[in-house]
Amino acid sequence: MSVKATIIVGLEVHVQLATETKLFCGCATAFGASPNTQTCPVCIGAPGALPVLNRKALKLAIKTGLALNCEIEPNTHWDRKNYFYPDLPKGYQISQFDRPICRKGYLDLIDPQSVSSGRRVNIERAHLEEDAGKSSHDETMQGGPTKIDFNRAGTPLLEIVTQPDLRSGHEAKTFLNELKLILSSLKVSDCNMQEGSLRVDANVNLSLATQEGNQATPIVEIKNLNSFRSVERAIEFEAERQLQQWNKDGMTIDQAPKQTRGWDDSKGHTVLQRIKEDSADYRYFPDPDLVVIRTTQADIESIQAEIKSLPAERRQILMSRYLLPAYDADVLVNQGDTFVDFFETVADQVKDGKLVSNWLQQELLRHLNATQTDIQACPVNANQFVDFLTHIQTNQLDSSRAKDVFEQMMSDSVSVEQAMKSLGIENLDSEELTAICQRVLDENPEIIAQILKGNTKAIGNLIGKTKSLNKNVSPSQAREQILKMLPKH
Amino acid sequence: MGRSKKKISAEHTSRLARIELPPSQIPVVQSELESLLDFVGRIEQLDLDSVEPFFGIAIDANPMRTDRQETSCDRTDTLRNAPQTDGESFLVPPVFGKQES
Amino acid sequence: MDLSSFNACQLLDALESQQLSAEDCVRFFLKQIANQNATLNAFYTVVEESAMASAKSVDQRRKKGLPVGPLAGLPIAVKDGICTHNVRTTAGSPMLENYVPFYNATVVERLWEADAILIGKTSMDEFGMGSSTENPHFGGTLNPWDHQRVPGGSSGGSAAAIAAGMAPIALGSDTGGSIRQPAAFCGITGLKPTYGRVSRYGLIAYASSLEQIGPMAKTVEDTALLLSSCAGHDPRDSTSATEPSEDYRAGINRPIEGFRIGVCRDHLENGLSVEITSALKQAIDIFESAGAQIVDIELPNSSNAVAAYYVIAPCEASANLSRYDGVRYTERAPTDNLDQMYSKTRADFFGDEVQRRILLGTFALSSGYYDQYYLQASKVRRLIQQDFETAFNGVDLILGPTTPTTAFKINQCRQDPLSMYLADVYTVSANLAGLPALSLNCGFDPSGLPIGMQLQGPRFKESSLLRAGHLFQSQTDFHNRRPA
Ligand SMILES: [Mg+2]
Ligand SMILES: [Zn+2]
Repeated sequence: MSVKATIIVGLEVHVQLATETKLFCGCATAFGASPNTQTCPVCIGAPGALPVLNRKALKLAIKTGLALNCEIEPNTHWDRKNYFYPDLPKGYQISQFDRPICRKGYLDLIDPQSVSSGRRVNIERAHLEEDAGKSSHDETMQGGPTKIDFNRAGTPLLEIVTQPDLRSGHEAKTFLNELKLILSSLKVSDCNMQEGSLRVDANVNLSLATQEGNQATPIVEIKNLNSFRSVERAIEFEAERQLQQWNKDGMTIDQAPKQTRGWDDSKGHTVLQRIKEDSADYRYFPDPDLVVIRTTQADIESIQAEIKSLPAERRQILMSRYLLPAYDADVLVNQGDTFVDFFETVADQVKDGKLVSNWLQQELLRHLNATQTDIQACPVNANQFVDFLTHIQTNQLDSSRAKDVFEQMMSDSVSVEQAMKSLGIENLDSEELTAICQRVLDENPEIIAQILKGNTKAIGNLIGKTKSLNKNVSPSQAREQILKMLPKH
Repeated sequence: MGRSKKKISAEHTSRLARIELPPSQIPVVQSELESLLDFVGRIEQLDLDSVEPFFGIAIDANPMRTDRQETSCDRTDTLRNAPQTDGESFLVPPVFGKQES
Repeated sequence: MDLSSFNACQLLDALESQQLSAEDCVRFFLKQIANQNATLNAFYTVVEESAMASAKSVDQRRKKGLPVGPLAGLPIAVKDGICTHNVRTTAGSPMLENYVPFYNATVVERLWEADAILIGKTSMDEFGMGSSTENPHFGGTLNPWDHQRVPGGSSGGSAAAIAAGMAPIALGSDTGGSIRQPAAFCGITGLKPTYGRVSRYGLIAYASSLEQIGPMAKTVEDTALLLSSCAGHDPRDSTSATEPSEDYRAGINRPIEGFRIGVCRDHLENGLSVEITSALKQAIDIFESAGAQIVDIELPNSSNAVAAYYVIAPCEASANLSRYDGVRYTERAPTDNLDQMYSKTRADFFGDEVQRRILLGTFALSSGYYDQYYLQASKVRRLIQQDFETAFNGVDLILGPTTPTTAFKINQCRQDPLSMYLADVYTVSANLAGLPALSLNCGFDPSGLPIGMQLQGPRFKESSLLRAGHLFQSQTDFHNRRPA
């Protein structure tokens, strides 16, 4: 029996906000400190200590919400989410339950090479909450004690929850790429997945069009997703697994409990972690240690004013003002704001967006990737790059040597002139060129004869000979000169 | 506001609260809790649909702090009340389940 | 010098005029503790050494003419639910029997800055959950007026310490009457401030939205003195009020002529013993002859206050006490199993009443019951608050009993939690509404037990309560009587 299966995916993304200090106390949030050295009575949950909200965390949350087209809650409050876990210091997490700071937003997928482009993914909510500490389990599996480090406890997180609007692993990846671009562009988070600044859980199931009507497979929550690529692979794997499972047992969403499965990246499959028999009872209630926080329209406007162009808008500008194709605009914007700034600075002077785009995509990016640097650390600054491209445009630098020159500029961090000089590339003055051309013409009467007979291709032969006399000869200039000097017939 | 049919279960509640009750105590606690709920339950009958709840805090200001680092505590102090540490971390019996987030 | 007849303001005068050294003052009270604490058990911890050192420092500064704080040299006892840096703080719980905080509560910090001298930590019901200070783990505290009776609770140790002359002033905390009820039972003065008036930072939480730290002393003027040093905004407590605090002692002598005093007849005539009713009526006469006008008021929802309180407080407690899980604080049941670390630790090191309230709160918040209990109780809370708001449109303060009875016998209520809860009937409303309330001694019953009168006021009107209370004490001498 063949059925049409549609993958239904919703994402929960925990973003660590780029604050100096924790959500409710003044301890540092820096990654990698020695265990339990970044704690105080508040974040360790000492009896009697009380939380006070970090203004910047709230602001970053609102900023993200605005960028994701969310409504901002004017009277947001805090709830306690009660559960026991050794790295949860107070036995509850301060989170937001029924009045999250951001609600009802959306993000449009942008992917010029896919039909998904332009699809809208609805954001259900984005709420602030504090992170837990870190548990390190006995790796020898000898049953040794678990170590608890509370340095991370209390770090501000923004939990962004989408509606189940994504329809493939690829869409999920596209969504996450765009989200990350926005978060980086807003400087809301460093989005470092390795350090846990961006954590993704995916809820996946299938909608099956069967002869008996639409059915849905049980929802699986996938955890341990360490890269966007893993998210994509895990969703595709899970879709396949669920289809097979359904073919085997026919269990639907109402017949089987929700599962949590972990993604094993090396084996490329998901592993059952936990079956949620009954939904966890978190006993949410308003945190009596914190008060309602009021956000006015004026507050929102002043935060909105700080948001510069978002990635989607930058793509539009690249296409309309710099006349780039959608593909180019996407590639450039995906490199982040600094890269696009670099492009715009250069293109504004060079006045040929496509030329600049080609060089950035093909040579600059290749070099940056090869040397594991980013545009901030680019050895060639925008002015030097403008100078380089101008040399090409004005034929001062022949395109056949341009790549060598660029490579030289990048590796030695030098100007175009310096690079050309160190490669021994000089522009011949017209007298020298005339002399070389004359010599070639003098020495090759038989080729001239062929040309005069109509074999114009043979002129390339002559150009080659000028080049072998002096490698600085520009082929185009040599052609021009030779044509000028050929005997008329 | 309808009265719920389901009664308190001392056993289930003690699991939620992570307080172990010896089996012999369960019926005792059960009846104690039932009589207390019976007493506080008198407010269930009131028709308060149109009443805004009051959670007890009426502060007009938005109390918030600036994102400025303060000195954290000395680790020796942080750890000194703990039943088990290795001088750096708190130690607990091995955890095999997965954590929530 | 026998200082036992001195109140705090008198001691302060003697200290300021250097007729009395801080060292002598502290030594006197330490000796009082040494003589009586074995019997009364009002202190869990006494800090002789650091108290004597602080006293010496105050004396030296005073002698040199250097600046000293407004309470310089005055010994103070602090309830053991308030965190004191490097001084054991148990909250009356086996769970925290050996807990030594690594920070000071804001109030303790402020008292330190005022140069008051901490002499010890006073007994209490476990985590403040109780009205008798019959703490089974640390032993009960006796009422200095009658050793067969309880001092009230949960701030029973602070109340007993003052009544017995072991400390001139003390801090208590009041979640549902825990300052006022023991003040009434021990014949002293105690004030629960407006919610947000005194920082809760460092108060080991029982029910966060209800509780306040407050002063306990022999006289109203002493409580005003102490309140002035404790009150005021604290940026570490998000629920701390930004309204400026006052010098509460400064205005205390202003006349109360024209004050409108509300009386809820129902509270005065039903459910009280004859002696309490008659003591309150005499108090009313005193206020009337001082120029106050007595106005009848109604508090129609107060009959539901105890029920609402015993939903809200256990719910908040169930979360506040989740942090005692065996990971960070002193006690852990011996086990290699994580789940048992939780459930055994919490079963072994929480007392029965605490377990009872945690279970009650856990259930009331559990899935499907939130609306029925916590939300419904919070709506009752709104009605109670509105009752007061309406009443305070017509009156400056409300006069009534603090407790339905005088101090009860040891063991009388231990077997029946409900009867103990009902003893809070007059006090919990002020906590639910966040209002200031003062309890002071207004007479004695035939067995010689003190009777408490409660004055409740609008938010941040502590000064009205203190003025009225001070006027009453300037015309009576109940506050000067001491147990034999
Ligand atoms: Mg979360
Ligand atoms: Zn901290």
